[in-house]
Amino acid sequence: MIFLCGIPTEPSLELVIERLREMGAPHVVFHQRRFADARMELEVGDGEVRGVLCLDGNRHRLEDFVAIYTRLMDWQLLPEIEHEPPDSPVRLQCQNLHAALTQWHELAPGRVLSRSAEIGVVYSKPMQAQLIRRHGFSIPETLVTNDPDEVRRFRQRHGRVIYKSASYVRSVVNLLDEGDPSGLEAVRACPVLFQQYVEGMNLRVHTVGKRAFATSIEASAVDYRYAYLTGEEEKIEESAIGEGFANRCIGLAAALGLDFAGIDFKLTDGGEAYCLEVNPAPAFSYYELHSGQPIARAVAEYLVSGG
Amino acid sequence: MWLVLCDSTDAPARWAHQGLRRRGLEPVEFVTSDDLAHARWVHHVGERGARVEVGLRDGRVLHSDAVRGTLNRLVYPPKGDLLLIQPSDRSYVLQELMAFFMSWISALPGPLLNGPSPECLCGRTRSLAEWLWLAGRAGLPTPRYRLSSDGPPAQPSLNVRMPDGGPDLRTLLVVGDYIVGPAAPAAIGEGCRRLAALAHAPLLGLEFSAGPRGRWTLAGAMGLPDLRLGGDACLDALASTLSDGQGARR
Repeated sequence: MIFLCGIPTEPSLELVIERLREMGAPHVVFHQRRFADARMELEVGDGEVRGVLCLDGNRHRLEDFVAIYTRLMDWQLLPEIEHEPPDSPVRLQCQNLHAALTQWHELAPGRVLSRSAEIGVVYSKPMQAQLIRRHGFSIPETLVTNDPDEVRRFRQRHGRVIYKSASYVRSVVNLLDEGDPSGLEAVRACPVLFQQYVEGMNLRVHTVGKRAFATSIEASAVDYRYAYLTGEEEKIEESAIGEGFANRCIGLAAALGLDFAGIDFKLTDGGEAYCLEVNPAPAFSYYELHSGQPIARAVAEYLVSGG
Repeated sequence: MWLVLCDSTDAPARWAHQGLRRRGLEPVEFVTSDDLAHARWVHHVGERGARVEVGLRDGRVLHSDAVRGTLNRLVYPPKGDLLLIQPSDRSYVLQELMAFFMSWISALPGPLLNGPSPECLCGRTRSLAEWLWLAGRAGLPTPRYRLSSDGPPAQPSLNVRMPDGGPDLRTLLVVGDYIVGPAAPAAIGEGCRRLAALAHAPLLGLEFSAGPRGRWTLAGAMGLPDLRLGGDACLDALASTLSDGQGARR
């Protein structure tokens, strides 16, 4: 039995549920917004975990689940919770259920896409860059500083420079404005991440177990994820990468403890691949729906083969 | 140079700093979160690896290249920096500071006791359920533990303890390859080492209760233990581990 959780209409989760249905694979979906109808008990002893999950009136033994795919959103942002007072019974029940679910995901013995300990790798981009480099990939030169003079020196050395968040908080990647030196004084408030801008084509490689799916994204925008804001179009299609490169991507994900990952690269005209970051819980539907690559099918097969 | 990183009120860290100096580790820089507030930071990551230069308020400049080992008990980035930020931006800035400090601490060469996590700069926070599960896998005797969504499950924390651990608790400290504390059965010591390895925590405090037949059972785990409980033996183990990296290499 496969356990899936999140909002079932969220595109990536929806695709995996569809593929499991097509495969006839037994699965249970926890609709996160129906938390009020769910309860859970967990027992830990002798290094094993067992328990019961009750969903919509059905009782499931935790030991019967061989794999988990979680796309849980922050429960505090659920519409059912948003306006609940801090000590309301509904809010407490939701909090307790999510705490129990999260703890189970950490301890469950089967395949879990993805555990929070693994997701932790995405938290710090400069720390992740250190890990990526240690595994043999080129990375753009990166500076994190609260000293405006260091930023100016960095820009002189590397020419075009982008800035973005250093944490997991999603931010639009922007080019540093070359005409506004006074704006740099704002970095004194908090260290900011600057990075050498790498010209080239964007490449996203999804790794699922030992399989890799490469998708190229041609876009003129600095951050193609937000190209729609300026009316620019991006061209997204399957990309052929050599077996050696695919294996290196699979190796990087495995070294970071990730069964499922979305790895972002910039490919220069000279053929060099710069690894920008590794996403441990990729929202892959954007790429699958544009390129037609069977990523959801691979995820579903990976979950099923965990049994 | 060795580093002792800690919050400003961390008395065990201050005690460890003095003990390490007496054992010949020189220089050992004692750096508190207050020292790190409003510091000048320059952190490069690139083809030549990672390096960090920190200019502290008191004039000291710390270069990561010169560091040989670190006792890290820093829980959060300095809050002093946050007070200068507009309230609406504080949450974002805190995430950015956490991400930056994680990278800085990870970039320090040599033995690191302990490494950072997204929840805490000196190690992962874990629930009691997770500690007991890990301990069981490490071969340590553990009590059965139940949690339910009907009651508040114990939240992950740096230090956790069984609610009914009993009055007669014995604390063992894992420091690299060393086990420090009261005499314990050999199997318990080996289990502690395995648990520290599974938890990626080369510095770890473990509490045990002794049953009626003297059977040791895990009752608590501390990612930020009071090092003073281990006395001189703890300082010897720290000095040795920070010098030769035994059991704390990354």
